[in-house]
Amino acid sequence: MSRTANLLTAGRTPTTPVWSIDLDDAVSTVTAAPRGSLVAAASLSGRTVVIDTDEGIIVTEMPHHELGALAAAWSPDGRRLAVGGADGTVVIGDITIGRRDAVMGQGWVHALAWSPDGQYLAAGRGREVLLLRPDGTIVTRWPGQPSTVTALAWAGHRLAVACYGGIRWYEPGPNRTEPVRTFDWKGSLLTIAVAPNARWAASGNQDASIHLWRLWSGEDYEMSGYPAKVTAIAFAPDSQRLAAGGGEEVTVWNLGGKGPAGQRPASLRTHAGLVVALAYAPAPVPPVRTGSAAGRAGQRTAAPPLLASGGRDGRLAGWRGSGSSRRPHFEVDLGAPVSSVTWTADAALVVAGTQGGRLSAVRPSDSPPGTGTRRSS
Amino acid sequence: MPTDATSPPASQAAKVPVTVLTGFLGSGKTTLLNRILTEEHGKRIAVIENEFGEIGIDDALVVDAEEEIFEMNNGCICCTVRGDLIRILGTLMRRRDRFDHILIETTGLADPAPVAQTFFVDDEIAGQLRLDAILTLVDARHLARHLDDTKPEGVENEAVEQIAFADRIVLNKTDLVDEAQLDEVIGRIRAINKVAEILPAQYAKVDLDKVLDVGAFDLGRALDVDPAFLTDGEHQHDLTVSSVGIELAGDLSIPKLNDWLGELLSTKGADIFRSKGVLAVADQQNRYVFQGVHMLFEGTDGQPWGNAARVSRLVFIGRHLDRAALETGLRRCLASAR
Repeated sequence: MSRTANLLTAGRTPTTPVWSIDLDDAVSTVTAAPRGSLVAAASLSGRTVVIDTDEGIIVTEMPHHELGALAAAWSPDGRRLAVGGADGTVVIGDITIGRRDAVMGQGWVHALAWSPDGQYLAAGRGREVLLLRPDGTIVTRWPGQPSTVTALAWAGHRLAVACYGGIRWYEPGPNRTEPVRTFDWKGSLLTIAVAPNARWAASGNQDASIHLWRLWSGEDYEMSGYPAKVTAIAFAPDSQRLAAGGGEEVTVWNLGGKGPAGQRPASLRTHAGLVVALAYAPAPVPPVRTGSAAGRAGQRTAAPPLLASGGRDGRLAGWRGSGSSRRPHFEVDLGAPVSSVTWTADAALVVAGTQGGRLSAVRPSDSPPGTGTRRSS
Repeated sequence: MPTDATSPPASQAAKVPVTVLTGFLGSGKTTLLNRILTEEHGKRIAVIENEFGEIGIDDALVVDAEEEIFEMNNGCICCTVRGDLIRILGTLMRRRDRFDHILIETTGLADPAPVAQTFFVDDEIAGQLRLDAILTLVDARHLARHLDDTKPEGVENEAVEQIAFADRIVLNKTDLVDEAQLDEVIGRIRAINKVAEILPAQYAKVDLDKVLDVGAFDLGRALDVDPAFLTDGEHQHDLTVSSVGIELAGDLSIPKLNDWLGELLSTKGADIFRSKGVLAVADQQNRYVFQGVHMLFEGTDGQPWGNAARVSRLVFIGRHLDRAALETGLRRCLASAR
C-alpha cells in the first residue's frame, strides 16, 4: 500500500487533478448530469453537493440526509437531481428553479433510477420500490421484494429490480402490481447494469461472480471465480463490452459475436487493491459519422471508449480499449480508497470521490504515456 | 494476558470488535444494551438493532436492521450470511466517524450462525471488523421451558441453538428462581454448551469486562479449553445438541489432521455449530489453534508449548455428536498412528 507513490512516479508523468473539493465524510456516490457540466456528489455525512465541473465549485446543495446520503441520480434532461438516504427520504430537486420535493418514509434508499424518457423515477427503499413522478408524486409501490433492493436499472420502459434471488422486471402503471418478468438466480445481487442497446443486463454478486442475461430471451451466463464480491460493473457505450471489478484487475468481457461463453476476459492491471468503481466515458453526442466516400472503408475511425477505474488502493486509472496495450492511459493517486467514479457529459473530465471525502476531477491527457499519438480526424 | 509473541499483526488489533447479542424476547437484551451504553459512555458505540428493538439512546448510533439471510450460491447450506449486516456494517465502516465497538442485537428467533459466518465470508467485513464474542442472554425462570419446546420436524429450537453458539451466557433474572432451580438451569445449559462462561445476573447486571472485548474468536489469544468439561457430567439424558470435549496426549500429524477435519466439517458441518481446538502438532514448537463455525474454519499458530505437556484439546458443540467416532478420528491423526 505504502508503495503507491513510488509506483506511480516510476517512469511516468503522473496526472494531477484539475480541481479537488473536500466533503465532510466518505463520498457514497458521484454522478454526472447527462447534459451540461454539473456533477452531484453524495456523502455519508448526509450532505449532497452539486458542482460545476468547469469551475470546480459547489453551485448548490441538496437537503441533508440523517445517517448519510446513499444514492443520487440525474433525470435524462439533466434538470432534476434525485437523492436518497439512510433516513428513508427521497428528495427530487429541480436544479434550474431550486424547487425540492421530498418523499419520506422508512428504510435505506440504496438505489435510484430515472426512466429513459424521464417520466418516472424509481427508488429502492428497504424491500420496497417506489415509482415516482418527477414532482415526487407516488405512482405505485412494489413492496415485499425478497430482500433490500440493492440496485435499479431501466431497459426501455421496463425497470430491473435487483435483490437476493435475481432480477424482477416491472412495467410502470398504477395497477401493475406483479413483475412482468423475473430472472431467477439464487444469489445476492449487489449491483446491476443494463447495456445501452438494452440487449443485456448484468449483475455483480456477493459470491464473487457476474451474471449476464440476454434481453429478452433470458439466456444467461455466469462468470465466476472472481477474488472478491463484485460491486462494480459497467457496459461500454457501444454495448460491446462489459467491464467488472471484483479483484485487483479490471476484467473486460467481449459481448460481440456469440456472447461471452467460453472466452477469457481481457484483464487490465494496475491497481493494488480491489477495483470498486468503473465508468466508461459517454459516447460523443451527436455521434460522429465519417462518410464512407472518404475511402478507408473498414477502418474504424472512432477511438475505443475510455474506461475509468477506481480502486481501494486510492488509484484512479483510465484505459483506452482493452487490447494489447494493457497499460493505463492515465493514472492518479487520490490518497484514499476510491468509492465512486463518473465522467462529465462531454467526456472531458473524470470525477472521482473517495472514502476520505475528497472529490477530484482529472482530465485525461490526449496522448497516453508511452504510445504514439493517434487521433481520429 | 496473552504474550504478544503470537498476537496477530497490528492490523488485526485495529479492527473494530463486534459483539453479537442473542436471547429470547424478555431475557433482558435491551436492559443489557442500555447498561453497556451507559457504563461505556466514553466509547463510540454503534448498535445494530433488530426490527423489534426498542432502545433509544442519544450517545450511540442506533441502526435498525431487518434480518436478511442469504444463501451463498456455492450450494453449501452452511454458508448463509446476513446480507443486511454486510450492507449496514460496510456503510458504517466507510464513515469518517469511527466506532470503538459495535453491538448487534438479534431477535429471539434468530439463528446465530449466519451472523457469525458473515464475519468469515465477506472480505470487506473481515478486513475491518472482528467478531469478538457471541453473547447469549437467558431468563433463569423461563429457559427450561424454551429448551423443552418441541419444534416441528426440521425446525431448530432457537433457545438451544443460541446457547450452543454462545461464548458467554448471561443467566439473567436469578432473583426469580431459588437455588435448586438455578442449579437445574445451569445443568441444562452445561449439557448443551460446556465451554461458554456462565454469568449469573439480576437486571442484566454483569461485569462488562466479562462480556466486551473477550476475544472469543481471536486465535491470537490462547483458547481456554478448560479440562474440567472434558468428562461428561451426570447430565446425560438424550440430547440432540451437546458438547464433546476431547483431550489427547501426543503429537498430531498435520496432513492426517487436515484430512480428518476437512472431511468431518464438510460432511458433518451442518451439525457442528462451533468447534475449537488447541493442538500439539509434530515438529511444531507452537500450539496450533483453530476454530470453526459450521463448515467455515480457520487456524493459525498459537503460543509456544515451552515446558507444558503437549496435549491436544478440542471441543465440538453440535447436534448428534458421536463422541466415540470423534475420539477415534482424532486418535488416528496421531503422528505415531499407522
